[in-house]
Amino acid sequence: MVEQFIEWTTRLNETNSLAFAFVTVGTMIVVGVGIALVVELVFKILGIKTEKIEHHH
Amino acid sequence: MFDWNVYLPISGIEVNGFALMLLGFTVGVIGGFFGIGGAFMVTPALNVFGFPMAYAIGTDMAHIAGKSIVATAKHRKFGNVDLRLGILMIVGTALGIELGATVIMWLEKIGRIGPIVRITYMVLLFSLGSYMLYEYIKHSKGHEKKTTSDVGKARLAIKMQGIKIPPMINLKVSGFAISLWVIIGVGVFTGFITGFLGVGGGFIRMPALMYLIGSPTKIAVGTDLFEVMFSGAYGAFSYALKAKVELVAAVIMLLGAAIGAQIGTTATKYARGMIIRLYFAITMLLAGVSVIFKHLSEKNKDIYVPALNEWAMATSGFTDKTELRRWLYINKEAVREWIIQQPDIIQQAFFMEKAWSSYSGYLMLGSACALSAVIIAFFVRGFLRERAEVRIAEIAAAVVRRRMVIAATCAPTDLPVMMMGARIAKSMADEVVLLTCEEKGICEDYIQEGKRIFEQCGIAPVVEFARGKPYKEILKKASGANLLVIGSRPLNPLETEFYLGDNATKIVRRMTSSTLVVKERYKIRRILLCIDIPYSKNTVNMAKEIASATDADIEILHVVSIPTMFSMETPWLDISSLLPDFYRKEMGVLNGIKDELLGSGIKVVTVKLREGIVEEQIIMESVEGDFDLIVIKEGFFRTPFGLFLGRLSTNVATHSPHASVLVVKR
Repeated sequence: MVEQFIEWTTRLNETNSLAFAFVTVGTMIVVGVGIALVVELVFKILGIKTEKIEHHH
Repeated sequence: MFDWNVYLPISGIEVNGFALMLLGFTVGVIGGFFGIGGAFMVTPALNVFGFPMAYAIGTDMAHIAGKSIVATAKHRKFGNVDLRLGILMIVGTALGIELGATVIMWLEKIGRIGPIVRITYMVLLFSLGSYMLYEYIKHSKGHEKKTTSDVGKARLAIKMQGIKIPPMINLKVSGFAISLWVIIGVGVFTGFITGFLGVGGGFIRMPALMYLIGSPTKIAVGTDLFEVMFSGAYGAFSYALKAKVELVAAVIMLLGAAIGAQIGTTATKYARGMIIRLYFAITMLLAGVSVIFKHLSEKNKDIYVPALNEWAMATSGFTDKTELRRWLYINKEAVREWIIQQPDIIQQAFFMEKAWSSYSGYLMLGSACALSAVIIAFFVRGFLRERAEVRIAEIAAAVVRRRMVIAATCAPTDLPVMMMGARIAKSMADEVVLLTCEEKGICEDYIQEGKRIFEQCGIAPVVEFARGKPYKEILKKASGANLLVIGSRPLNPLETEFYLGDNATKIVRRMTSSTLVVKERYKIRRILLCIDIPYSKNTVNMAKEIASATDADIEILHVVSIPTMFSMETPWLDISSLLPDFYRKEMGVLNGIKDELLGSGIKVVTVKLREGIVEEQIIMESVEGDFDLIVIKEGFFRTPFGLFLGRLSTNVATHSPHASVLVVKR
């Protein structure tokens, strides 16, 4: 499936650069958010707090 | 061995995937910590890996787009993103970039673009880095090291904030009001430099937000990343349109960068603002040195490129610059052969250009690895310190006042919880909280009934109410208590099959204090004290206290763990009577505990050894011996599989059919 996706994007890069640009940005967002969610879950299991920080103005 | 080499179909080169992921990870850590995209580190490093420059920039931009979303979301969670300031800065930055790009076009026309841009870049990096370093040293001398807040606002920022040209924008997150025109002006200024230098601009905006606008360091970091998110997405889109993004490489880098960005962002929580500035200053200075190397490389290029281009044009027949560049890239070997035949000065210039360019890339790569290692150390140290502080606070709270929280709905089904809670509370707690959690509504009659049960035992509980998901509310309200008492309804087959379990299981798993899960029995006559070796004194003490309060007998049980595959059923031979001889050392420990309990006034204490699967043996013993309460220490996960199968103590609490279970935590 990954190989098919790579082949498809390579072809898209040659045939339709606008679609390739959208696919590039979309892929980055989806992969980034996906990994972030997994890491967030790991942080939660480890007990790392992610609440608001108090700023000293 | 696993082959890490990855073929990149768009640029047609092969790179090491692991190195790409590592590069993404290190720059992700740095970007999350400093609030920058990190293009000035990634682009030369990618170039070292063999990426043609245009692909290096495009791929870098694409991975920055994904990474900065992750880091911005996390900074927003920490309250580090000033959205109002960020949006206004974007407007100014866009205008500034256009201005900068126009000046660049003019410089290109007069043929002075290369050296001017590089020299401006160097001056900027060195002056910014030196100023921040100077400021750090000045601050370190003038203040106590313990100061946790940011330094006072820079003089320039105070002057900027003094400009009262309406409309004034109230920046709640940053904590001050400032004129709209100042924000736009700073945006235009940073945008101009960004457009002029052709860089992402995070390293300019972050200091500008601190020194010109006056934002605290961490807010400058978060707000800058918010801008990087947009510039990265725009850059990725633009380079992808020009077919200069190697998507496979960008995704591989992002795999590392998204993890690194989370670590870097979380590390800002543990670092002082001034420390962030110090490391940022060091990064700037290193980047400055890298640009010097690049400058030396370009100087050598100027010596041999005219002759090379002349030869390439004659050989290939191309006159267009882009086509010529591509031809040179494809015919690398022919270029090398041509260079060897040239005079010494050309040969030397060619090799020196490559050498300085490599030094620049390696310096950035090395700096990225070293800096990210320092930031990860911050992260780990901060996390461990935070955990220790929470623990100390809990212990301190428990020492000052022993607080017991009894979580019950006060409905008839929870009567055993209140009965058992009331029986042991008198001797084990200074303050008793009756916590009533209901998702749908709370019945006043049940609360009165609950109070009456406690009053019969001479206890006046503090009644607290909670609405919402019971297990979440109980965990929140019972935080810091030294004992939590909860009920446990029988599991239905579905819950037994699936790992998630009921509310009691979830609470036992997450609660940091000791937790008593009350089953159907509320009178305590027999206690099964489960001992692991080495044993926990706290567990023995709690069993002792409950036995004293309820006048119960204690049986001390130790189960020698034998995995399923090795446990043999021997129906023709009962070996239980022989166990004490096999396990003399363990028996010595158990008898020592027995003597201690007898010495404390517990009337009947017996000792028993069993062999087999620990949870199974404990539950079997509790059923066979008709025990009312099992006291067990919460242990570590026995094997990596424990992460999925659960802790031993949690499993006993979940599956004990009749006896209540007290899980004693550290």
